[in-house]
Amino acid sequence: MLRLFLIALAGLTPLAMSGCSASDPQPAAAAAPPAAAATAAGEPAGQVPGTPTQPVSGTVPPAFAPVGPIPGPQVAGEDPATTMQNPYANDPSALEQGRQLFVAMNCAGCHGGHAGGGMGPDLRPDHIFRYGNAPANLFDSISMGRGMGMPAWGTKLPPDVIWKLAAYIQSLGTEQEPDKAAPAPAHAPDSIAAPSY
Amino acid sequence: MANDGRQRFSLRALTAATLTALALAGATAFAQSSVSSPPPPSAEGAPTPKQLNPLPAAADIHTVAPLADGQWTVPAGDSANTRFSPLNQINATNVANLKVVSTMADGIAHGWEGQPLVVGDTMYVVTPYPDKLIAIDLKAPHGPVKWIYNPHPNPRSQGVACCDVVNRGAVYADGKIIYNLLDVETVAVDAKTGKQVWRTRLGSIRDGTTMTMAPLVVGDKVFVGNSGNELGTRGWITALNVSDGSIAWRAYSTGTDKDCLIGPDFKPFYAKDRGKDLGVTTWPPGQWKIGGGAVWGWISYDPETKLIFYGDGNPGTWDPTQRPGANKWSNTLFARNPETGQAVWAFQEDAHDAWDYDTTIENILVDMPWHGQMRKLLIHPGRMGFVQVFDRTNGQLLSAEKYVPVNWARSYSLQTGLPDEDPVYRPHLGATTSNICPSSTGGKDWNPTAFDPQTGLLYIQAHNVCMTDTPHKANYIAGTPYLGADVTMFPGPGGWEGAFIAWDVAHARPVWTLQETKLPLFGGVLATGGNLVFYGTLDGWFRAVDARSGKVLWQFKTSSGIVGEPMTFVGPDGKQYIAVYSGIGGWLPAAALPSVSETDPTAALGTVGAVPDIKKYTSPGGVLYVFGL
Repeated sequence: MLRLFLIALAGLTPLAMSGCSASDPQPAAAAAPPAAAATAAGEPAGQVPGTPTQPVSGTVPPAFAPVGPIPGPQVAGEDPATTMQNPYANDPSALEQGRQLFVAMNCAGCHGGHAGGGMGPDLRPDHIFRYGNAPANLFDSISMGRGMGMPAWGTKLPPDVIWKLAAYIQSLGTEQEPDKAAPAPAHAPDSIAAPSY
Repeated sequence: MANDGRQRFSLRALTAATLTALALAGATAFAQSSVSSPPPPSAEGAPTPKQLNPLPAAADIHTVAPLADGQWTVPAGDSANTRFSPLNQINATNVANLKVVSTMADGIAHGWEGQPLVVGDTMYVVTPYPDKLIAIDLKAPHGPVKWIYNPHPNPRSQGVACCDVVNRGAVYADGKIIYNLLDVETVAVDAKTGKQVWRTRLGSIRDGTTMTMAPLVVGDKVFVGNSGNELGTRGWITALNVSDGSIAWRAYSTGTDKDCLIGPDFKPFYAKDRGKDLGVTTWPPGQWKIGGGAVWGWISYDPETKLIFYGDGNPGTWDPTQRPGANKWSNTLFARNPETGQAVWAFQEDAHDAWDYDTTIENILVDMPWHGQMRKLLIHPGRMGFVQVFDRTNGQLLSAEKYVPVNWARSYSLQTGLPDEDPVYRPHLGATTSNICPSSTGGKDWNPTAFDPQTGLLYIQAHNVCMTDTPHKANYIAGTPYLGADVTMFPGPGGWEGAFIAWDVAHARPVWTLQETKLPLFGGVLATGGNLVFYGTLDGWFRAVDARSGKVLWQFKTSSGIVGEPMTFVGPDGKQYIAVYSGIGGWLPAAALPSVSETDPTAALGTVGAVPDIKKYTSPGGVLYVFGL
């Protein structure tokens, strides 16, 4: 299942996240004929029936609403973004897929091998999320991108894939986190290399 | 000590003033060289030197480019990259009295690499992103700001920078301060008015390219290079005309000989570097287009041989199995004609790199006796853990000795120029390779050494870090990392993290070391005519060390970890000052940043495991410090 899914993802290439000119290189592996493709209108292919299809933008008040409320800590129930659940939360196979997508889609290159940050910010639970870490906030950040360099994946990946990535991020630091990082040794064995000072 | 070019540092050639200072300093140095003597009160708690070999005898050493003797107009002080200044007002006899005379915060919580420039009565500092240029008036007390040039680079460039949003500084030429912006532009700013003179776009962040290096000027051309080897960029060095910013030539690090400016002048010393269109034929089809080799380090220029020297970066991806072949010209030292860009010689450090051992590390040019004969040398303290010495006229490797624990290779052959690799420590797809030394960050990284022609010593701020590397298949998606490996770093054999090493170039061995137990070293070095060497630590200590004995004579705790490069200048009041940036960040120290978790040893391209408790010792926030007597 996952293998098929990744093949379908490979079919979505070229995936130029920040724009792509005609002269951009296309490695042989990535230039394979699409096994599945997004339509010109950007409708996702390979949709899993019954999953949400629209990015969530619950933080934007409806146009007819009065300005407000005054910015401050969100209270559960007040904002749909804080109450919407991830359809894949606690689904072990979806978490495993989310983990593999995290590596395959190069999220790990920016956010760290196990999401501890680097080029992009730490996503582990000890970090404060600038744009919120409720499931819908995570969906929006992945889908729409963010101004400091986070690409907008919403036109490249179908919503169920984005939900799986969000589910993996939600699992970080919990017992359900798949493929946890091995701890680094205290130091390398003394015998393996010289000179030593 | 006129700034008129070639200088000799045999003792008899020194000026009377320097001699006096040297005599005083030398007496102090030798009197204090016993490691059992107590440290001066101003250096309590500092490491004590471990003597490993005797000091080399005084030698007939010649510098090859005008030294920084009051101003500091070139990133490394001089175009030969010595980072040595003959100034000696501040010396081993009085450095204990060194005090802070001015500070300035930049308000940016990112790694402040690089060094200020001083031209006339003005200091120029370039900040990390947003790459502001700040002019500071040295005539007025405590250095008020004259003007700030704010180039407003594209904020999305922050998301494409592999190793923090750093900038390694500017160069001065023809009334202009010239430097690079993270979003792949070079700017020239009028040094008097702060007004932009020209601004040239050299590439796009859309294919993962950024710029972080400090340019070098030779004649009417300024040389710049790109960054982005972890994002599938294609490396290049580009010459711009200083007058108007137009592009004079560009030499790519991969591709056809035509693209790499390899022509009839190209005469590599070793057979391994000869052949037609190797920048294409040593790659799988098309892979060279995203193969890395970015020129993000330091460039040197020798006015005698009239050549520029630089190394380029690692091949992409970090998974070597995806790119069978030698992957030329990644990880290669080049000598080029600055006028035309045409290559004269090249030396690839490690064909088919599997460790991210970029060759972008500085090259120090000096003329000195080598096995009894005066030679034109190029000293390359490489990231791969060897100090190499080349004949810079032809690219012949004269020596390669380990300066930190190394096991990926046993040695280099001087006959073939090839490393004798240990296959046990070469990573492959589908396997985890443990205890590779050094780690990708090297025995040292970009953070430059200093060479003191008075002592014949190269001062290296090294780190002792090893790694576990698990390559995986990388998917090329333009503008995202093209990484292909899960790496975890950790302290090397012995468990110590860093060492400040005085390296005897002539005998290719360490003379003494100052060991750092808690944190690696990741900042630059300054050597001065005052028999002093200055360096900073990642927990914020800024130290002055006796250049001969290694004794720490003075230290000051700055506000953040130091990844910047100290420099020295003479102010309008005729007094000598020392300046350095304090501001933790960059690659190996990234775990000090709030955006990086210490709970993921693979974070920040694997560096977190090497410094898991760095947040206990330092936190980010850039401050310029100026010290004087």
